[in-house]
Amino acid sequence: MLNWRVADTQPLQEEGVRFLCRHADKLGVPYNWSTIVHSLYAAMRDDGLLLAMDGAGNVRGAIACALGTGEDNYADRGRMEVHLLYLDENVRSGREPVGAIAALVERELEWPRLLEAIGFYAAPEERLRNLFGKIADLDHTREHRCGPLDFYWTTTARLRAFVGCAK
Amino acid sequence: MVRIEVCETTSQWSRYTEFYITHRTSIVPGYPVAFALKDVRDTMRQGRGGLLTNEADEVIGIGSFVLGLAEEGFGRKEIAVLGNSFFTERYRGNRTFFRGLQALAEQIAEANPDTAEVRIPTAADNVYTNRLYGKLAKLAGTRETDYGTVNVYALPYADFAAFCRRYA
Repeated sequence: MLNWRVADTQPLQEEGVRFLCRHADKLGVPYNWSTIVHSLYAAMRDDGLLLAMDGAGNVRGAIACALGTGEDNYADRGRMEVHLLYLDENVRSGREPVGAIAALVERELEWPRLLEAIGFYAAPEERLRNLFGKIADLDHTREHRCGPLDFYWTTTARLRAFVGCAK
Repeated sequence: MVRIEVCETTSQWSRYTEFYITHRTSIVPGYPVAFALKDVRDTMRQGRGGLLTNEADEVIGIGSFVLGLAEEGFGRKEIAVLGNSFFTERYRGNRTFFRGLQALAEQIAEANPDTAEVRIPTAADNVYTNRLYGKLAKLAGTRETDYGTVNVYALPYADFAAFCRRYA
């Protein structure tokens, strides 16, 4: 079972970034690298870089989230955007993906103020729409610098209910 | 033989990022990971970055620049500002450094043929880089930052390019 924790020290942040660099071509996000790097920067600013550690202390997954969403150019900090969620290929089976959502919910609940909504972008693919449709509502699809992207909204309550049902 | 490649792909930029993050505190003591990430973002959006690799395809150095001044929202594109460059110890003090500098000079000219000036910031307490940059440029100013005192060296682009050609 992976142990999720906030990367709140320089050594942990370094480990997390190096892990993502080594898996850069497999992250499955539709953005270019400068956007990923900016996302990690924003996540660190908001204590939103979460790392999944295995029993040997190695990073096996990461979540980057930060206050504000791209929908209003990050003005409303009562909302949160999940920029990236990545698990090492060999920890994607079993309960680890649900564990990642649970870690995200736990982090959201620790935020100083209640989050109104959680948004995220994804490539406009049917497979992803089926997957993310379990935890969020597709709001719209728009053209961005990196191409067309779907945008989803969800809530902490909905994610928590999903984690509860999956237990 | 050291190979120099200009970063274009995600694979190249992620290798650049990993090398920079790993060595950031050797370049500027205490430099936070987040600041290094911001540097990579700015380099990708406002300039260019390069990787130096050895025969085993290991990254042994990086170099970069941005066009324009960060403190002016990257306006004044006639000024190129060199980024935090770094070479692993074995490759310092030989031709590799000057080959890297020459590649930077070429890339600056290609990115903006009207570049008039090159600025080189470096940590004020780094004896090695201050001695090195002091040989080719004048100390144009010193400023306090969140991560210590920074000296900024400046010289005309033509002088920078001539210096790089002389040693390459």
